[in-house]
Amino acid sequence: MDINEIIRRAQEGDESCRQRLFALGRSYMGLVARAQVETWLRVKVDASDLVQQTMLEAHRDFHRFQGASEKEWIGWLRRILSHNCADWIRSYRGTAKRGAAREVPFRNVDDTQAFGVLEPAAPGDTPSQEFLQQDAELRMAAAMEQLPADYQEVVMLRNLQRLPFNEVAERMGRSRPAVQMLWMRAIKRLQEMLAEDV
Amino acid sequence: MSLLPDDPQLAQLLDNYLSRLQAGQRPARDRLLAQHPELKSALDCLEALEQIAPESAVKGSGTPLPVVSDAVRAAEGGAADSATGATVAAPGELLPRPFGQYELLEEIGRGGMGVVYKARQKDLERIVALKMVLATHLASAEHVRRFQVEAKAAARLRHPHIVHIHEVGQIHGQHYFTMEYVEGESLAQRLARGTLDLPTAVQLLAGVARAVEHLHRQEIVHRDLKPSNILLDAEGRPYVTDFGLAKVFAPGSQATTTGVIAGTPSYMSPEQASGQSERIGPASDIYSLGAMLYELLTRQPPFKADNPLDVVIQVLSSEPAAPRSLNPSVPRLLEMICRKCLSKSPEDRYASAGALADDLERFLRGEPLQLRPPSVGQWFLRWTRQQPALSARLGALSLFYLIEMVNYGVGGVDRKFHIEVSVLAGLWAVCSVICQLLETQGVWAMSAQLAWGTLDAALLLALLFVGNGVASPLVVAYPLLIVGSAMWFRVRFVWYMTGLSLLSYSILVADFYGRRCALQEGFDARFDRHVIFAAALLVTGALVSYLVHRVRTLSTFYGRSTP
Repeated sequence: MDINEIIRRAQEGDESCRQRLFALGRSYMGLVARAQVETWLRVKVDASDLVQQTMLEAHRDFHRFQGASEKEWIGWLRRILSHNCADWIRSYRGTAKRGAAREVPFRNVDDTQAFGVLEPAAPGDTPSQEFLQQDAELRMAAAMEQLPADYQEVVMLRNLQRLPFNEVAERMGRSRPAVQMLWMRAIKRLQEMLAEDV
Repeated sequence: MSLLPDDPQLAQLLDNYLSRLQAGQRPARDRLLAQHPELKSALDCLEALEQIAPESAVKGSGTPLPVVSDAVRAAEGGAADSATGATVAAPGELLPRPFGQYELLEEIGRGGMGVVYKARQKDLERIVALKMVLATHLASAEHVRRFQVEAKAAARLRHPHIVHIHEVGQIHGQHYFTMEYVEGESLAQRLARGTLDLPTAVQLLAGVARAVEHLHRQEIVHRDLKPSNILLDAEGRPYVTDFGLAKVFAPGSQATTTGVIAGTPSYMSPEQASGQSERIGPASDIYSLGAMLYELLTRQPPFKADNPLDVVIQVLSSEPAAPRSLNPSVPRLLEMICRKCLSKSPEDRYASAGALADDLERFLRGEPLQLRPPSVGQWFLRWTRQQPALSARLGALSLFYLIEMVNYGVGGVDRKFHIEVSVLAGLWAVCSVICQLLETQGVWAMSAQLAWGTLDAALLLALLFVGNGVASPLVVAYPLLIVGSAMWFRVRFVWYMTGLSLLSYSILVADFYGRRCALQEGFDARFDRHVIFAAALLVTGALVSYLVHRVRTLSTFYGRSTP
């Protein structure tokens, strides 16, 4: 079943299709949310509650979604997300001011936790199977999720947050040539994973 | 083929590609792939990732991104509470937003150097224009240092026709400077609305020239005088802005090397257009003032072409059309002032911006100017630059005729021959003048060109018939015809002239063997010399058209890289 079909059935009220649709959107949302808030805050943060809230609102308002394609689905989710982002950042700063409780300096991050946002929603869904029919964005998000942590990080900083390599190197605490090579390897890996999918 | 992750060169290529993508530009994907086909899936990857990345403010608008994202981040550091309702979206939606002790109110312009905002300075409660400098323009510490030095020097200037710089600084890594805010429009915007009447235009330019004179006294060369850098207040008083800083971003930084070609070179002096940075000085600004005067008088800059490279070529080698030919109501004296400013050689322009202002003011008061009319030599040079095709032909004809005269004088040829040659040469000159006149009439340009080429070939054939035909040394004029046809920079025309030359030469050959038995005796009659000559013509045509093709390619390349 391709994603347009899933969208159509979900809109008609098919509960299992709706679950699948949201599962498909979740890793993508996680990636976008992190890229967005980290672009603003310039530190690594756990934005899983932002994603959670966005997904909840999307569930609640799903009847308002009129689109029929993957692009429209993604666009709709992104609009809800960007709506929530500002509030989230404000409240995040409030907390941060009181005790920097939620701010996690990068180098001490436990890699398995840091990417919690990117974990698949439902354990039984293996993204690479689900994503067979889709175009690059959702597949890319799924592939990102399966990268090793340092690959994810370098792509997150260089591609999604659009930082120059100097800054990426600083943020990752490595030399510039090292992050550049890491990045090349990550791109190569992503490229291979996407090629396998097709 | 797959990507080799350990190749630093490829890494650099991909990084450059990504940077352009992120800056909202369209990178030259095909060109890159032509050289590195193995990068295709990597590029696909980068593009898909860019789709996922948060909306960048400038995507699609063609303006580089870094300054905006920096600015967003900078603003974010200043005030946590500014984000009311806004997200990491377009900067337009973020305004007004705080930036250090400023509050950015609205975007008022974008230029090569960065984005200009109207801003409120909170501590002094005043409105200023705040210019954020594009990060790409301050790539190195050295750049930053020079920027600071230049901007501080500029900040010391005080003049009623200069936009005053208040402050230079840096907030969260974002370099900026603030200027006096001029409520009004730029001269470029004003000109787009319609022409200024003559006294107003002259008065305005005199004011600008005074301001530029002041800059020059402080040893600052503006380097980028153009209508969009002249602001007009509500009363129409001009203010010069954006001075001096151009030097900081001059050659060396890649951003400006492309910027020079990408921007409009219409107001640029020949020494700037040719990149002779050591020759750029006050006289370059005087040229730009002249270019603005030209536009004020005629509603168009001195040189206009479809792509910047053609403009550069014109700036370097041609003479602009006389202002009075575009607008007959332009007084002759103003035309002279304008042309003096637009002299190719810096020494021929006004000695100072003050002298130009003096002459403009004298003109307004109806007093005699200090300006001397151009010398005969200058006038002649100017004329040949205005009509290169005609002057090349007339030059060649006069040279030929001179030789013929001498030949006749020493008794080398008889009277009948001399008369025939004189008539033909005279006819040729007259035809050339007519063709030149037709060519400047837009509608006839193309046909005049073809007719001119055909006439050249026909008259040459006639001359040769009168003379010794194929045995005459004048056959060297054939390769000259082909080379001369390159002046129009059209490959097809070069081939057309090559074809005509070959045809005309074969007629001569037929004539030689068919009718001129007498000549055959005194001249080497073997046929192979004609084959060699024809082959040489063909090769000449091929070489010339190849060169023309290269120039064309180069010019479309630069034309396309213009945003």
